[in-house]
Amino acid sequence: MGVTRLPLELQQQVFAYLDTRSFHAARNVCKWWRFASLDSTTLARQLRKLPILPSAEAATSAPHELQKLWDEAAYTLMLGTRISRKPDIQGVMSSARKAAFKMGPRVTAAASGKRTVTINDRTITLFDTSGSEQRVLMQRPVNDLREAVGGGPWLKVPPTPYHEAALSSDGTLLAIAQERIIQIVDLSAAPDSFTVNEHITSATGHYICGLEFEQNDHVLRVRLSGKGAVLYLGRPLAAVDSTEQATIEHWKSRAGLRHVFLDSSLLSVVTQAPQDDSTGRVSGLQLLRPFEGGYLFAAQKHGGNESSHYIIGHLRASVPANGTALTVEPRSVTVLARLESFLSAWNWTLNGKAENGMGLWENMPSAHEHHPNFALSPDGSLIAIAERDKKATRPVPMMQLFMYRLPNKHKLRKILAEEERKRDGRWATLASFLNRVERKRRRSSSDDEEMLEVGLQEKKHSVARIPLCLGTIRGAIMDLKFDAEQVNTQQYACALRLLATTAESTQSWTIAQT
Amino acid sequence: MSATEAEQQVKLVSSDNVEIITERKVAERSMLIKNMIEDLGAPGEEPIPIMNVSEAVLRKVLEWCSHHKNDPAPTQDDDADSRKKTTDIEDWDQKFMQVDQEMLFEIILAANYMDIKALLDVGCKTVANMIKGKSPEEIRKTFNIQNDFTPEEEEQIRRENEWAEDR
Repeated sequence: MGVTRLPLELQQQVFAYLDTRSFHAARNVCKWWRFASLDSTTLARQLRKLPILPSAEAATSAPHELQKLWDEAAYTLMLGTRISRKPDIQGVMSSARKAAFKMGPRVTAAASGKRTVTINDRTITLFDTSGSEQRVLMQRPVNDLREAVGGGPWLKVPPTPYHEAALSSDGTLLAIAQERIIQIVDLSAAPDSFTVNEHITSATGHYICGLEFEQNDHVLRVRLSGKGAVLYLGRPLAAVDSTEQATIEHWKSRAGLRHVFLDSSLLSVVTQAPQDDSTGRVSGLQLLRPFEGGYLFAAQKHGGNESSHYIIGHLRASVPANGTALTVEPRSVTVLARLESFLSAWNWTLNGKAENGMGLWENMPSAHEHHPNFALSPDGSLIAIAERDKKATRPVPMMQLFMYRLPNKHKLRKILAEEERKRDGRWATLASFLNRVERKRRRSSSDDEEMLEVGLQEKKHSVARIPLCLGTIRGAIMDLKFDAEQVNTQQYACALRLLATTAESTQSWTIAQT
Repeated sequence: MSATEAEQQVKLVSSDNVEIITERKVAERSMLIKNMIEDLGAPGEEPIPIMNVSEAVLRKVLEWCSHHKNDPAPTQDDDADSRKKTTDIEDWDQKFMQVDQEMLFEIILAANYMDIKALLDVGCKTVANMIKGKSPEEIRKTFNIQNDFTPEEEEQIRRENEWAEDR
């Protein structure tokens, strides 16, 4: 061969013409190309195109620092990740749709699409929509003031019966909300069986505008009308991999519908900068998975002297002294990663080259949608976010999808431990201790030279977490998830599938790591 | 350079000992030849050896030079970053570069040896455009490169892509 082996400086000259994604691919072609890519000037030239602060300079950084920085940036900005839109799949909701149900707050299908429930004229009807034609499985009246089975509160009777509803994953439990009242109906029981009723006092001042069962139907996510506030009712599963389904007994228990596991309006988020006391507010919170004595969550963060952006955070959960069931500690919020929005990323993106449209307005979320959808990949390294596209006015709602890279779980654990120590005022790790000593020394020292030296040591680049934009789809998203199964392709080491379901269809993307 | 000088003929000798006669103006697109002519002082008489370039490649390079013989000389600020920004290639150059890969790489090497900056740029841009938007495997296929990473190195790369397990 030999033909493809250009002399080092010529290979580097070729690299100089590459965009960062192509450069990243070229590094992994063969030994010679990898070797050519390790040059500081070459690396720094590519790094300067990326949203990194302060920008990398070949003259002031050691080669291994630049290489580390490149690895970090390539990981965070997903330079090796390839996304391809696949043909739309027949939606899981489509079986219900085929049966001519118009999906909306009063018609709800289970995630599998096999069960569909309608609330019409004070009657709940459960359909089997797994076949080609729907079949009525059961009917029962809504437990409202006129019907009044069991203890109250009961739902109001017309003229204003606006309901939100959610069906559990297996289609046996139905949650109905009206204003601030939630009822859970056991659809497998007799039509005159008691329902679980609760007036949600945490929702005072709001009305309920959305319901979803989560965590194998053990918790109910309640979206409130005001500022993206979210409640979690019920008690989540203790074990991560438990597949136990919740029954009506779970919801009747003391840790059932009457138990507020999480109230997002009570959470306080302390901003990173210790000198200003302003706290942020989270909205649209969604629990992702159990993690380190609590839960990982995704949310929007507003206020705190920063532009709104998304965050990945951690909440501790414990059984309070006066309580009976696991509850989130309101002061235990730890922000683990910032997921940038268009405005919050400005410092970085104005510096970068906006290559391939990275960080541009049309490719960034605004973080002002009150109830976005989140989905975490099975390995926890990616999060998909869907928010209402408000960049143009259109007759139908459009959702824009983004995918962010998250720090891996070891890194998350480290950040969590560090941040919690800081919050508690303990300085137990060596790194944080040294940091503190250093800062003290800098403050007391009047020697300019020493200051410069310390400053150089502390210099650390930060890579903005900027998403890949997957595109815009029509209609509200009812379900957003990564396929648990890993797709095996010959070409790529590993690939994942992301599915976004709207009333019309399920759109899918393949995400491959090269 | 006067008009007569520009029309002077020079004799070049390729690595496989073939003499090629060309206009001095064309040949002087190459800084190597230009400097040699200035050093030798008597163009046209002594043949100029182009030691590393074979006849076929030399003819191809001279074809490029004669098309570009009236281009203005590159200025100093052209040189640095403005040049690096774009990988757009002129139509004629693009067509000129539609050769097999062996020839393409030979042209790049020749342009480098003969010190023809503009041609070297076009060559590198052409290669860059062949790399762009491809995965490593696709790049290997395009250039017929063997994946010579050892399993340990592959593992290392995989770990890099998962960045910082241990940090």
